[in-house]
Amino acid sequence: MKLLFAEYLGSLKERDELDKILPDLLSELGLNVISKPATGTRQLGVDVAAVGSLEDGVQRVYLLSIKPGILTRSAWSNGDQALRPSLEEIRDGYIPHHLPERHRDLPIVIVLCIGGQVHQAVQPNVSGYIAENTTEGISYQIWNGDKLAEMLLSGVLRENALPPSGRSALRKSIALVDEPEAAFGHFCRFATDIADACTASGMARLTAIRQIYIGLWTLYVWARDTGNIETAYRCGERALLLAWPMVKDSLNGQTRTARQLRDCLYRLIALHRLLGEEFIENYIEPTAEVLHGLTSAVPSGSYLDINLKLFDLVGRLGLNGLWAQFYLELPLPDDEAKAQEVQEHAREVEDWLRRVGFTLASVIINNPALGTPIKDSQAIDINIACLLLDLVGCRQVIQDWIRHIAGATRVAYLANERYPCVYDEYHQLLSHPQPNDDYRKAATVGSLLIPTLATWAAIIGDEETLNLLSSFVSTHYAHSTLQLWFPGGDSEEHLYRGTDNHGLCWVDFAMSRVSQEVLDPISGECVSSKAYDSLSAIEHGIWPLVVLACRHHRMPVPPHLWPISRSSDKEPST
Amino acid sequence: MTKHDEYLAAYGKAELLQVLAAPSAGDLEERARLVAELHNKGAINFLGACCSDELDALDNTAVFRLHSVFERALPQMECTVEEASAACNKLHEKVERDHAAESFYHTLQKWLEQDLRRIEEGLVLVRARAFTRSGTTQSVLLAGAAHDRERFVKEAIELSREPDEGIRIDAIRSLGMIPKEDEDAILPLVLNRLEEVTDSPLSEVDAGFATQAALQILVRIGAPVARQVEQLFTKACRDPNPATLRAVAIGLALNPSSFSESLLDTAIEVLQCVEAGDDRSIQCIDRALYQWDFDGDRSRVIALLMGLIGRSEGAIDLEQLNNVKHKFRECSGAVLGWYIISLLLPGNPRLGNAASKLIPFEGVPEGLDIDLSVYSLDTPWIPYLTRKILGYCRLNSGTVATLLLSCLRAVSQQHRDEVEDLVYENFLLNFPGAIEQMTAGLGRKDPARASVRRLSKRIDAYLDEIKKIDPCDAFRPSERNLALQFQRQQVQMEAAQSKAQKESLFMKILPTATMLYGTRIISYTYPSEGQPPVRQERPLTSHTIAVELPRMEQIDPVGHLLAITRFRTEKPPA
Repeated sequence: MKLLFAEYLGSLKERDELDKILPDLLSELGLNVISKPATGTRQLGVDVAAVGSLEDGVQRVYLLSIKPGILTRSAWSNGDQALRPSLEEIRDGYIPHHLPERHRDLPIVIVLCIGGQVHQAVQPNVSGYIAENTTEGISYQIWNGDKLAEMLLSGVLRENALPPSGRSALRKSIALVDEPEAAFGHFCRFATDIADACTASGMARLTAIRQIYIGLWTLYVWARDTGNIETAYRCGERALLLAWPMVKDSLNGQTRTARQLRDCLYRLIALHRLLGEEFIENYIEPTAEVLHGLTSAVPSGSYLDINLKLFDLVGRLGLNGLWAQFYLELPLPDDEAKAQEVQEHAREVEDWLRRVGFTLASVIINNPALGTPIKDSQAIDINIACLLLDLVGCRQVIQDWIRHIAGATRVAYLANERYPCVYDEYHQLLSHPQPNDDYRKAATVGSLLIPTLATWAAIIGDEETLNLLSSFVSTHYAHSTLQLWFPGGDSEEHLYRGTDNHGLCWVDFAMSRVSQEVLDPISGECVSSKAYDSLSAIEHGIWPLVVLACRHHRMPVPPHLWPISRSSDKEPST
Repeated sequence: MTKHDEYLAAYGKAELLQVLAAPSAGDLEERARLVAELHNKGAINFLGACCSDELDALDNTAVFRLHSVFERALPQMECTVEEASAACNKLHEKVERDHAAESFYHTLQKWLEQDLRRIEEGLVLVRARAFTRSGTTQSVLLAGAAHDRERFVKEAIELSREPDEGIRIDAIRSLGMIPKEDEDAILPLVLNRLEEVTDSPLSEVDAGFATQAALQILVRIGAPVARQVEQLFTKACRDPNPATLRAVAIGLALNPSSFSESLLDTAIEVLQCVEAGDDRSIQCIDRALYQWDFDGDRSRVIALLMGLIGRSEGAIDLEQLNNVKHKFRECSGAVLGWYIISLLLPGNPRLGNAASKLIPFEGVPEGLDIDLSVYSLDTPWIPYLTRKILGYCRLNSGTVATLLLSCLRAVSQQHRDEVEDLVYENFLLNFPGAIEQMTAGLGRKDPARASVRRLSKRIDAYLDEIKKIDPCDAFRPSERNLALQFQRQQVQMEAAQSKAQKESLFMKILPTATMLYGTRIISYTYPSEGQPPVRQERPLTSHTIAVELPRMEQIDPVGHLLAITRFRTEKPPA
């Protein structure tokens, strides 16, 4: 396990990676982190500063200067980003001028924190530097990958802080990282066991979230090394959803633990977004503009595999875009400098939002299989994708897509050829469709897809599509229960962890040829259905979490998120 | 044991017919002589045996071998007409469905002809309705006519009014076989009677047989009766019943040359009324069409095919016309192309389906890229025809490429882009390799050259992009799903193999041997009676038929279906 973590730590990059996990690591070892990495502000060589006792009970100030990977000669002394100049900055700048007054009497340890190892060639230089600069009050330590791995295992991932099967499940998920299905299963066990074993105390919850976070990071880095982050992406979604119930009650708290919990949550969200962005940049964007590009990238000769994967991907694209939108909606911090930093970042996020939206549009246009869903539940992905397309102003794409799906669904159903069915299991889909009419009726006994298509057609004002759907439903699809889903009183308990079925099935969907006749009843029900507003994620304004939960656990997205007017006080977030 | 003793012993064991019908039973004349001798002595009752259950043990081939003995023995036997007729009826009944079954009555007729007393005796039996629903009546009347034509024509006319349908029909049929050109007195009688039957038949079948008899007279006598027969024929065709249709089809199949142009036109018009379930008439039409010159008689063949296949109610399927399909396989590319285009142009889905069935599975018939100018199509018709070709002709990409080349040559500048887009999006994306066939099919100064060059560039650019895309590991289906898919493919392959074996002509006519060991097979054939079996040693061979499936069947089958459906249902330009 130590070797595994040493390897993992050696692969971390400084910015946003090694320096992101170190505060958690130090906190779990009992240190008080007094300074965390921040971009844009002058660090004077210190990436992380902490106070406390690690070994002999003596309180010390630890000033960490972090360098990823192996410390080579150039990483030691060449250029502004080298370690030696940073150490000098700490000695000459940070300690005399920036070290908080209350810690000035404590012995200071300057830590050369290296993800990997010190290269042999530079070892004498480092040792010489340390010997030369060690004084009575200032000492030096080297924390290399081995040391950090040891600290991880004796800290955040220590045996008695994890459920019995924890380490083993995490190890298995890492070992099988190239087998997403199996790896995801093991990671879920690891994370769920931690969440289940977690007591109500704030510290216990904080530790649990940190463990999940570190576990996810470890998995991510290993996955990245294999060139396939599919496992990490899926685990990232699950990790966030498991973390939410542990954090939600502390989000507004002002205690240190509450702040730390909040901080942990945002870092998990950031990691989830990062995974999404990397997934999109590496796997989707390169082929998005090519006709049949994404389709051709699916390594399977089976239409079913292609279909399932493409709809999964548009759901991921949509969700990632919605997280970007969420970021843009966040209020600016009171601190002017921080606000400026956030605003600068917001421009990047805005660009990303447009980029992912247009990528989604290209994917839909260039991969015609996306016009022919095979599962009724793919309405969930269609819905999420439409939410993003609507946000970035691609209404024409929505109109063409919805119209194509409606037409294709009708033709496929009438021809008894791979029409959308209520079945979700792969083996059922493999033998779908079957020739007899009884099967066809059973396979379409209910539908979320048709109401979803109709609602989007109504939102866009495409009455031609509404007309097509109305006529199809009344002539051939009357046996199917058209439905939408609304959160219920029991949704808060099950939505995020997907522990059970929940919510309310609305079966009074009005299939009409007139847009307003479709939308008004939905608006009305959104007003009547109060449970949505009581969902903790909505109460705290983190609405993409609901979309994430719906996508991850294959529940319909609540109609409250649709861009339709609600005659209540609260406008939909999008 | 002598043959004499052998026959007696076999008769004692009720196995006489089997012994006589055995392939190695010895000289035929000798067998017949001995059978007649034993029968005349009363040692055996050969005719009685023919009427017994003993006949059930014989298959059709054996019955015809027995007939060879029967026709030689009967003239040597002492027996009543009743006994001979009963035996003849039984033998005929046994092989009724075989085209050669009529030979039994021919034997009876020849035997009756030998002695006028037998004819008189037979007439008495017919009048007494001793043998209804048999060919005895016809045998008696034709045998009688050989002695006294006028008398037996009158007898036939009389019997054609008989209430018993079997006797009546036999008499009507005989009327078509008795008259000769030089018999001025008989011919009007016969034709009048046939006209009477046509005008007021006692049953539907009567009218059919009257038509058949009239056509037989036309064949036998020709021009002198043409006008009368034509009148009768036209009358019969005004409100045709299945029997009449069958009679027309049989007439056309057996003696097409005796039909005048107007008779032919009437026949073709009336044959289009045949019902889908009337298999016998359809078989006759199939045989009739097979006789025709598909090149020289194009207009009539296509008119009949369109009438049969294209009508909205009771249309027949091209699959029911096996001989026609076979004939098309022998046609030149130019003729085949003409029929395919002619069937596609009306925009009738049934005709379109028939056109698709004319496409050969493999190879491209020479000259298939026909000149569309013969159809005098206005400009919007070429894009329309292109869509029809794309909608219906999909099995053999080489053939489709050739037909599309015809369209690219004929299309106006105004619609060229549209046709090129159609060819690219709906054909070349499905069969990228077909561009090579299109290029190879170009002639010097070919009007399609520029289009083909552009299409070639487009498809090359598309393929270049697709080839750059590596399968993405992150999109790989799970191992479990791949295993399920593999299992399902296995099951489907086994089912397909089993179905293919059940429907295989080879499997039906050849004995099956399952080899567990070895690479060659030894078998023996038995050439003819008395000769030793021939040993054959053969290597194993395999037969393969490969069909290139459209790429969209894998990428987007429902979208593919949607496009095909749209093309197929498109109405012709106004």
